[in-house]
Amino acid sequence: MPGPSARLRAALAASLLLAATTAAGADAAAPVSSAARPVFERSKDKLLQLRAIHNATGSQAAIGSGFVASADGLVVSNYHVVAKVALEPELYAMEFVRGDGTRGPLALLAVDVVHDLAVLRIDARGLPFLKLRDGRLRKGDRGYAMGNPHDLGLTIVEGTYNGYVEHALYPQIHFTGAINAGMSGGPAVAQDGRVFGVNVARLVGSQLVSFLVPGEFAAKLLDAAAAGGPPERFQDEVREQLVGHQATLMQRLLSTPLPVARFGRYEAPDSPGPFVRCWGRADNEATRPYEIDAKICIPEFRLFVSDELQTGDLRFSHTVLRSRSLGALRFASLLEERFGADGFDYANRKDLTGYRCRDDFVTRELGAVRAVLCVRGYKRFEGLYDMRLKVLTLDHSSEALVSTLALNGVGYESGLDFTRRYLERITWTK
Amino acid sequence: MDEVIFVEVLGRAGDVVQRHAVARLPATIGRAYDNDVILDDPYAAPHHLRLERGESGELVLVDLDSRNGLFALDPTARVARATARPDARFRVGHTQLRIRPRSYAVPAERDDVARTPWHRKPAALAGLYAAALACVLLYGFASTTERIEPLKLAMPAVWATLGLCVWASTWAFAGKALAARGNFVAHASIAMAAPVLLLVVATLGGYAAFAFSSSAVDEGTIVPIAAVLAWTLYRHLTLVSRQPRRTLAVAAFLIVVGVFSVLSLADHASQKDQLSRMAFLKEIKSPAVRLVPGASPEAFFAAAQDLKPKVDALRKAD
Repeated sequence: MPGPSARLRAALAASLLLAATTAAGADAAAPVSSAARPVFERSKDKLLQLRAIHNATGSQAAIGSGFVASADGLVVSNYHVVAKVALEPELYAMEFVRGDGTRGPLALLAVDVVHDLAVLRIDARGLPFLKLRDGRLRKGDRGYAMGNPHDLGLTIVEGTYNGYVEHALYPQIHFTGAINAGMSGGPAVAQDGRVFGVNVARLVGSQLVSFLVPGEFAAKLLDAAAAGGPPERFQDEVREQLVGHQATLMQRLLSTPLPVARFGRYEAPDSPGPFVRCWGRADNEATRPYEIDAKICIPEFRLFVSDELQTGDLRFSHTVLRSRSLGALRFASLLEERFGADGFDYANRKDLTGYRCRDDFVTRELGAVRAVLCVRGYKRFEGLYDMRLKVLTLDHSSEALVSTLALNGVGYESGLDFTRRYLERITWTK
Repeated sequence: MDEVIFVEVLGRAGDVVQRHAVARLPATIGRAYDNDVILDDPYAAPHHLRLERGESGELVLVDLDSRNGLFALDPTARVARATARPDARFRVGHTQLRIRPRSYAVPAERDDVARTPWHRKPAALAGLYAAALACVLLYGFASTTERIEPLKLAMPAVWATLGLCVWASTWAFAGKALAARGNFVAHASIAMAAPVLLLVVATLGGYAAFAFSSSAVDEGTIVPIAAVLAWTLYRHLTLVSRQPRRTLAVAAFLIVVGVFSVLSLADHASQKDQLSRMAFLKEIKSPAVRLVPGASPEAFFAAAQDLKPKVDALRKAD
């Protein structure tokens, strides 16, 4: 991004670096980190910056990091660093830049969308490389994450290993260290010099909460890449992995009855597992003629497919609206506002079709609800759909439950199956 | 003595600007002061036409070798002489003429809308105004889900009253210009009846759509709404134009259909860009309004299978 702000930022960054150098020089005697320097010395010739180059302009479209993981040139990084090349190989190409500034092309060999990993190849033999190990260290162990944050140059960050994330659908390491944009795909090295994790994400708005993909998954993908050639079309490979993911998720969701939680007079679906977390909220300001109790359940995971498409998750919310002094006419207006609103889903034409909906009263022994089911399809990933269910109870003229479910990137049958179970779990006492 | 003949000078809208009685034939028509009918038109010759009886007693116009000639209208054709039937129009210079005999039969008088008694009565007018205001207030009340603030609720009624005055005045001015009659009260009563009818139609449509869970009913409400608007426009037009009722009715119908078509096209075009738009029946009323039992969960989700081919078709279309 050229322009004054970029120049200002560059000047600022440079001055910060200069200040840091001076401080380090003055304080050279103090052993701030005895281990970081040798780790970096041993690793630096195996570290790479990865760039997705937009062919038409020759400029970088995405930058990340990576490391050489075998003597014959296999390189490990994140899927999200190479996503553009995987999905639009005719528009983008990958290249690497070493610490000394030398650069060259990279060929994409394998991707793992679920764990956010990719394996690429440098066309060279006899390269120095980093060895992988599994991700299990002991809580409190030191780890060293390396990469090229914000294109500032190769960097090492010392941090603390904090075990595997407890709620994850797919295991990730919780690492307390300053991983920043651009370091994605870089290695996190244990004190023994081996890679125990691959930098993948940080929690925005938190302090140093970062995540690594455990080393064993990188090793598995490396083996797969070494054994077979790249797929004919990565788009199909990505689709297959998304289909596999939704099958795993649906299997988990459908194998046990959906738990429910009480909610005043109502009962409605509760978190189906530790990978979905629910939050509650009351909105009962005294001057309002109605009051609200709301619960929203959001997933701890989401698969990155491209900058415009994150999918493979589910979320739902329940809102109980209770009239204080609205009267039946105005209460119905309130429900209409709440129920009729379109979702604010971000969607892009490249990936998704428009919605098609079905609405009706759905009647069970208990009574009737108003239900709307909307479905849209994935354009590049055939057989995957987004489903939206809205349910409004019609049991009372001054109290109602509005429930919404969003199911992203699911197969039609299993998605419909879960949607139906969800609807059937919404009940009330008279 | 010959029958009295009327030579009528017509305005652009077909209205009579001057009417000359001619007691004796043949008579001459032209700019000169020695004519029987004098035309104040610089494009007319001093002696332009002669009006006379033909062999079988019909009235005939004869061009007296004028420079600009005599034209029959509908269709326009230059003629040297022409039979002057009572509904035929002619052009001489820039002047339109029509020749009618005393025996010409006129149609029965039209109903005078402005004379229709009910809205002339102050009580009826006040009642209509009250009904229109009540509709505006009731609509505001029903759609306010936050705490009622009387002043905020009353504002739309104030705006509606102002709007009504501007609307009726505009029509009254148009009437003054085109038909020489303002008819402000009549225009105002039409303009007050319209929102009452619209609210009734739209509300009934919304309730019926929810009660029967029918998007078709919801979308179909546009027909009576368009009808109310067309009727309103028609009533206004009858007060400001002398064109036949049928012409005005067709004009009102076409204008409303045209406006609705343009709006729906624009709506359609803008919706195409809204990928996250969900099209479903959005009307929600009190549970007691529901009149149909609805589907069982099995039936609802079985019917939802239909969405798959629709979405797949969208996928293939792009």
